[in-house]
Amino acid sequence: MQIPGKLHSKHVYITYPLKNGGEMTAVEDFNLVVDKGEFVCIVGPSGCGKSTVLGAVAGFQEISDGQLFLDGKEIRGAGRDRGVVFQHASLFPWRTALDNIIYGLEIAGVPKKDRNEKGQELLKLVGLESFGNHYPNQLSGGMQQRVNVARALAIEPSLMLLDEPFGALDAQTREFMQLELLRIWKATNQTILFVTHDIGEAVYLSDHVIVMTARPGRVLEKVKIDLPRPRPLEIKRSKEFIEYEKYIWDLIVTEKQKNVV
Amino acid sequence: MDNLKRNEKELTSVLNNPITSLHVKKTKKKTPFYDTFLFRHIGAITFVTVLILWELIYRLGVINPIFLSSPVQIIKVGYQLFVSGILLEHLVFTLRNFIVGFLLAASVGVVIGLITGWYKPLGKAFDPFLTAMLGTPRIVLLPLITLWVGVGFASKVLVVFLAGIFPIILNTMSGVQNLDPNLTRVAKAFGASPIQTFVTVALPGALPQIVSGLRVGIGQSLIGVVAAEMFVSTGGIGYFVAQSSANFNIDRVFVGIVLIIIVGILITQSVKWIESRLLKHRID
Ligand SMILES: Nc1ncnc2c1ncn2[C@@H]1O[C@H](COP(=O)(O)OP(=O)(O)OP(=O)(O)O)[C@@H](O)[C@H]1O
Ligand SMILES: [Mg+2]
Repeated sequence: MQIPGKLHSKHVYITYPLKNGGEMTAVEDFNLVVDKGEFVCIVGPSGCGKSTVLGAVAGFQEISDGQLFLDGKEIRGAGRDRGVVFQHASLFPWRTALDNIIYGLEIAGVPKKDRNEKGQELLKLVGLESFGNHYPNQLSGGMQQRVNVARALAIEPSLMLLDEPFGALDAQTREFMQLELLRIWKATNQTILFVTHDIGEAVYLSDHVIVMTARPGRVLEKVKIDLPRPRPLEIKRSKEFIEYEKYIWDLIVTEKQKNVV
Repeated sequence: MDNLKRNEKELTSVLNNPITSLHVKKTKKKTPFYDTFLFRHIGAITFVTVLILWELIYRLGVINPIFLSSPVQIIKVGYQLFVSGILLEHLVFTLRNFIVGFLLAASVGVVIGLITGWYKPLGKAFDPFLTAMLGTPRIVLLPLITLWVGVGFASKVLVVFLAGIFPIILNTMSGVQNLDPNLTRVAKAFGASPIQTFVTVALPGALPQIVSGLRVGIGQSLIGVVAAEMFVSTGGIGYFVAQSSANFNIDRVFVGIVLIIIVGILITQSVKWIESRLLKHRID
């Protein structure tokens, strides 16, 4: 059997145990194919299971039914073939920026000289060349997330997973980070699965936006974003962009109302 | 060039202007209280004042000199005892008991704390025991200890050990138990084995708590050594104080007390210093 795409989610169900002994279905019949080199965002109402899906792909979250494939192999547990960027400040406070970036390489047993070289390269890539010796509490929120992205890139993963990485940043920094992420994505030819609740962010970044239903989360629609690349930030004010935003926004609002009724 | 000179002239005239210069003086004079000499040295001033009052009370004979020494007396007698080598002898005796006992407590305590913190069921199993021991003044075990190991070196080391180890275990344990779950998840995401996670996340993550455990432990160990020496010993500062008191030699009692205070301050300060070096980048 041929397994399509880089990432393939096939009839995936994810449940959480409830206190009373029962279980709650968070994600239901989730189907998705992400091709190599694609940038795919997942949006949906709060609590619809976006993080849960990402956690399953990352290997933290067990799935109760269905199958997840990465490069044709079924996903079982966490691994270095996936680079994860967390929303919260998940940098090690006792490590410098450089030492945070090379954490994965250290774990993988890459010799010190090689990993430091790679670390310097990545510092440059994310624009923090002169901050390698800084500790996380000496960096701004935006800089910290650059380090976070660089740390995930360092292990040269097959797939990058980002869960609202810019959610805690102010609006201006967030836009700048989006621009930077697209540059890094192009420079590294990565495949990216990105969770956000910011529709504008999703439209701006994505090749495809996956809109999820309210809980239990399913794929409501896969919206192809046909905007030219490279995308300058001004594109966010273009008619086409705004139409994409409105279209997705309407999908989600209808979904939310359904949930209330 | 000419322009520059003119500007300079204007500037001097502004500075010499009585109105503008008055303004400068006025703001200079108004120093807030927290910036005064008195405030900045208020601790030292209070300290010296108390010493002077104490000396005065002593000199005026308000209190019977059988019960009270004075700062000058303490320095005088202390100096004599120091020169004769008696003081040093007791100090070395105490420090030896203390250092051996505390180093044992620190190494064993940290290891036990790490293990019980890492393996949750183990921590849970020992928790009641540890909590009970932490709340008990361990000196109460002294009679039992002398019964088991006699009154020699081992008894003091054991008291110091028991005095210091429980806060060390409990702090280390809670440091490991309360690791930031986000950080352990990062380790998992990067494919770290349990041992790698322990070394790269648990150990550095629990370090602040380990250090604060050591700080509490060091204080308790110091109490332990002095108390043990007072009860069962033939040397040490605790013994010296108890002995001097029994002989009604009040000056010597005070010298011993002051010596313990100095040792305590020195130890606390060096721990603080080590702590600030070790945890330089945690304080935000
Ligand atoms: N560990 C857990 N135990 C039980 N229920 C959970 C757990 N984690 C998430 N849930 C539930 O599963 C559902 C999906 O959660 P998830 O975090 O994936 O949502 P989300 O789409 O990421 O939401 P948000 O946009 O708020 O981040 C929610 O209803 C949540 O309450
Ligand atoms: Mg989420």
